[in-house]
Amino acid sequence: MDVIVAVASSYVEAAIGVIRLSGKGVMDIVAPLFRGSDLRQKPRELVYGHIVEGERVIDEIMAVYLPSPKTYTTEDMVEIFCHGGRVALEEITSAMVRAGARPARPGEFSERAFLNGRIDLSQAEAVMDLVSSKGRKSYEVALAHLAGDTKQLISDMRYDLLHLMARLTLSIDYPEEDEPEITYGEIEQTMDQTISLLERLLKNSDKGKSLLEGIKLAIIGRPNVGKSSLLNRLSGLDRAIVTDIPGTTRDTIEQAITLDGIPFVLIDTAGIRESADVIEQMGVERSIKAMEQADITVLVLSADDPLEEEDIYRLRRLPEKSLVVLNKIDREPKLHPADLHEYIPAERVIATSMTEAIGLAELEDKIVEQSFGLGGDDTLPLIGNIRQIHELSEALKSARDARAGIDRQEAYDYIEVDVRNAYEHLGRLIGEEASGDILQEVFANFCVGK
Amino acid sequence: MYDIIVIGAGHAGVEAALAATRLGSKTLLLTINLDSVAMLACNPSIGGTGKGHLVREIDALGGQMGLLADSVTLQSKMLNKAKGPAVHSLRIQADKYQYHDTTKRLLEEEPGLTLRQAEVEALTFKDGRLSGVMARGGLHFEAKSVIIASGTYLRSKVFIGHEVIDIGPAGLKNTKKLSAQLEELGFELMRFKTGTPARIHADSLDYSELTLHPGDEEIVPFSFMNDKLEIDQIDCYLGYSNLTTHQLIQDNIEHSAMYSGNIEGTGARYCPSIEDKITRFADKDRHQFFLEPEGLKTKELYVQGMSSSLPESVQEAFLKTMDGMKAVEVLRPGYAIEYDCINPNQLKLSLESKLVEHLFFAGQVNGSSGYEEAAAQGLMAGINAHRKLQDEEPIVLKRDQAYIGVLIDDLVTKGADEPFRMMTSRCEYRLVLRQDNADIRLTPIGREVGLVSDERWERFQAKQAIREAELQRIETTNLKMDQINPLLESIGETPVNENVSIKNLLKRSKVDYALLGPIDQTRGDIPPEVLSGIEVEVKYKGYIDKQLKQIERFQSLESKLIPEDIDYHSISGLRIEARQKLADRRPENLGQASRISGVNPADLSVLLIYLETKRRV
Repeated sequence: MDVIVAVASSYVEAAIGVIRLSGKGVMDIVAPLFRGSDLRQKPRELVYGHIVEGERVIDEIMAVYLPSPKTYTTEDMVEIFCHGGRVALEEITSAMVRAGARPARPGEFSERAFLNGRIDLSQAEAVMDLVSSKGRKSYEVALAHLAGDTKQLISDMRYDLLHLMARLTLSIDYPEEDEPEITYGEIEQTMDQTISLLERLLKNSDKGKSLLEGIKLAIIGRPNVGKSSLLNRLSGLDRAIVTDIPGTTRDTIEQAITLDGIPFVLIDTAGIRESADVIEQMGVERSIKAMEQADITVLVLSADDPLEEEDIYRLRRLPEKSLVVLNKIDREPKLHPADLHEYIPAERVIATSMTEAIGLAELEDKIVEQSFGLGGDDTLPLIGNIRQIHELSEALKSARDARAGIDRQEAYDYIEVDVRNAYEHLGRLIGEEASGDILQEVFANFCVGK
Repeated sequence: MYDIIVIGAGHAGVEAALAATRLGSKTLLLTINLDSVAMLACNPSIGGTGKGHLVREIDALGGQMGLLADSVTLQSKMLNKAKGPAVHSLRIQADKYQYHDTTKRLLEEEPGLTLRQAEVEALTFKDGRLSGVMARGGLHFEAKSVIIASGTYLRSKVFIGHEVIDIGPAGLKNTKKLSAQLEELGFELMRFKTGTPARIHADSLDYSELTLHPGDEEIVPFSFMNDKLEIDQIDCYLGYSNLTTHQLIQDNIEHSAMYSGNIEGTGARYCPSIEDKITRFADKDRHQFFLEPEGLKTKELYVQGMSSSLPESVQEAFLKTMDGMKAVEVLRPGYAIEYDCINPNQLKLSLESKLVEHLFFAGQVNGSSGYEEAAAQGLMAGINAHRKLQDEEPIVLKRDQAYIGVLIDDLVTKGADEPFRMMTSRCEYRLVLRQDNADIRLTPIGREVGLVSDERWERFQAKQAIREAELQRIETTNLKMDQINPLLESIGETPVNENVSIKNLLKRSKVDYALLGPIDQTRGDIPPEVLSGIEVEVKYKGYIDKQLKQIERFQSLESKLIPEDIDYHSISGLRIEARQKLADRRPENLGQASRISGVNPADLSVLLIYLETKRRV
């Protein structure tokens, strides 16, 4: 069994995050990344140390080594307790994956626990549900998250590789045909293109680290227009205190949420109401500051209140990535969407009612839509899911191996092995059957056969 | 009363009958015509890419085809020599008539085997159990097992131009009654189609317009039992069609059987007729043909690449437009043939049918194509029919063990939507499934099964001992720096700065045994195939290790067996699509399940957990 790794705690902001690894040889992966006293010497004890990759310290952690068989999966396991929040969790997990661990499928720890006899029969059904429904859902979400153009881009890349494999297969399986042999130059060209695109995609997913940490979403607006309700609706958590008394949000709150598989960090900016002047001053100042920090701004207005000068001030300064939420449309309207058209295009205005749960789905969709193209090379889509990044790096590794094979002028059948691996990793990334019909491609394009 | 009856004495039937007999089963081999035993109905050639591997594997297991091929070789070529050793493929030109004669004689002389001409019309059953076969004229033969290796003879039709002729291949009789019974038994029959080109007179050609294609100087035999073959090789010739040829065919295309609407069978994409070629690749201004001798005692040449179902007159006319054929004399026309085969999804990996116990199928009737593919299945069906009677587990070669394993798994798991031909690209573990190591992979299995003779086993062990010793030697023998460097410089490799072991030198891509010869004093007399095998494993260790790692993962699923009585519809976690596909195909293990399209990793996890719950109950 290979070593699997996954975040065991929630990604939601918390003081401590937990990462689990399981499988034979787990210490071969963890030990080189762990700086601290030898975990193997102190099984089942929490050991203080750092996760270090190369010279870079990723996080200060506590870790425990749990040798087989008395563990959850009955395999050798390591649990790492790091700082909470997406950054540390993602970075440590990625480092483990780079060191040779495989991102676990959903429910895979439980699956192993069950298969190894650690979980009794009565729970089999539950485990099965976990791996099937949850697995499928996360898979589908991940796939859906790949925007159409990402899928297209990778499909195109795969097609180039498929065609290359067909040419190689032609030369291997039909050595005596009257079809031109592929040259090293041609293979090199396809592989160079593939490598550079894969490198850019991966770099983009690094650059888009902000995506992994969460896209910053500022929620601005006058007090008591429904900012905190919006935050609660989006996060599904009762974190900000919501009342009808203006100014009850005590502090700026950062809240991590996931919409459609994309992580967001919500910044709620409410004010402390001391005197009217001060508030206005503070509210506006805060809004401007939040907008500067944020990737996407959501201005909340109340439909039962006409526009105030303060609102117009904010409307005029809305950045390109922004939305206006016209809240409280369940009440008697004094402000209509049409009143906003001189400030913002209609498609960026969403009418909602937080109390009646109207317009929320549309709002979520629009937020996700606004996030496209953020954080990275705008011409390239972002790939954020760790399993997808894993497949992408594996594809790159294979493509580079193929390239090295060309440099050594290896025979075509060896080069084909790496090309095929790259092709299959990309297939897994976009959820297409790995096989793809190479032979179909051969017979469609070349006149071979007796 | 026989133990096993084999229906059909083509390449599948011959291997099946010989294997079963040699393992100790009393066997009856029935053929519709004794003159067509082991007939090379199409190409007078054996082996080629992928197929050559199959022949080596058949031989390594103790089968017959490699020995037969070696005994009637007219010309031999190792294809793909410029490529990696994993895809080196042996192909010979065979004497078609000698191949038949030799095989027939061998069958006649095999103790415990009865060869007889009879047309089987039905399988017989007694108390619901298969009991034998009924042949024309009221002949009843009893047996415990039956292997159907009926090739292209079931309800076959031959097409030439607009004519539909009610015969089998090469003008032989076809057979009709068995198909109907198979359908009654629940077998899904498919119609497949293949074709063959005209045969022409060798003395009617202008050889100045053709390119000579001689064999290799050094012949590598198919059989591991033969060290070398010394024969005078016969030449083949290469020529091309041209635009006049294509125009002529185009003008007459409506007369081709292909376009007559009479053919319902599915042809193979890799076996296009010349009509297909000029239609599908209209931009090509020439198509090549090879002229292959049919035998030493005949002047017939096979026109490889020009298979056709045009009327005889058109065939002759277009041949006359091609290189060297102005005055060609056509001896027999080409034709297309259509026949019944079963859906191989209805077979187990042992090649026993899922519907009727003790009924096995092998060869073209399973939707494959090619002599070698047929022989490989015949061998496995013969072994497994025998083992079943002995209450022994079937021998199922895995995809990481042999091309034979890939062939049968592909057929049985994925089914055939066109006649199935072996190709190296179908093998995901190609680098370890080489033709040079077929004996290392399979001879121990053949020995265990009981088909590997003492003589073969001793040869194998002796070779293994030499190999082991040589592996040891190259690891421990250092060559001197001042001797190595001139050699390295001569091939443009970076020199070394210390003495280096032979093994480490061989790791360099341009260094081989031949180069080191002059300075490698302690090398013993080692067979060249042992040396090349070692060279490959040392040089390509990185690649091979990568595949071995994949194989490890592959095996973990492959070893998880699925009980035959599993009820997929009761497993709630499976998606509907997966349930249906699994229930339909009934895979034997999780690996096979994973190769069924429509079954995804989450479904496999569910199955894995389900199997574990069943195990624990």
